[in-house]
Amino acid sequence: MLGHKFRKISFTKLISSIMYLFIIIFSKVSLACTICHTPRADYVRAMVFGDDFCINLILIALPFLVLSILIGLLYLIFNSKALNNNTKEL
Amino acid sequence: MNRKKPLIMAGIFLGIGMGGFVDGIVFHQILQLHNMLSAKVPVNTLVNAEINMVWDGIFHALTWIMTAIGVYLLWEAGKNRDISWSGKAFWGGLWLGWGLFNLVEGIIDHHILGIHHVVERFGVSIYDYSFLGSGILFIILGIKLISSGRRDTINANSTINK
Repeated sequence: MLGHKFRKISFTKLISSIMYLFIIIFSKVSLACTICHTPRADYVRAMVFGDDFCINLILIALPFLVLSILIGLLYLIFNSKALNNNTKEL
Repeated sequence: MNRKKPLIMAGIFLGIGMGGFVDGIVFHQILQLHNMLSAKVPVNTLVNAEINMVWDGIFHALTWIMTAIGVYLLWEAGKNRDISWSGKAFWGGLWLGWGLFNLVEGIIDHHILGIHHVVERFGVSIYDYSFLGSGILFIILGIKLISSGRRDTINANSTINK
């Protein structure tokens, strides 16, 4: 019976409830918590989400983007080699 | 090669993820030699350390995505009955992925963009070049393992045919 009631609570509601709980608990004890409202947390947030946020995000994501392209190319090379081998066998 | 390709691709993604986590956990957190934007936002105050910590988190999130793709590809490979499960091919893929990560991340972040260096207080140093060297070494090791795995399969097939 109880389990059935629990299942009715949506996943999003559960996550947001946990998040609020964390904010309530940690805003009292933490100075650096990024989601809290202390002067230092506000400052860190302002610095992170400042004018250069998008540039910094691109800078950090760039190696992963290049790696993904590189893997895509490797995949294509492997595929074309396999295709060539199959054609030769025929 | 084709029958091992999904395994190698999964290995490459997992290798990139593992390489990223080694960098993040060992260099950023345990040794604290550099952080993601430590050349741009010097870690000389607690606030700057906190800003870098957020960007380290973004880096770890991207690394996690690469690892998750690797796990998904491995799962998909597991469903394919044609795959020849070669440890050498998989480990080769892992080393290749780790090497690619060190090489690409090293060239872009340490040398082209200069957003951080392996040992931040030294700037561009021998440690940055060693990082690139380790990348090349891991790539060679990965390719060697993958090709020896292929030879093993060819030998096994020829023994079966005899």
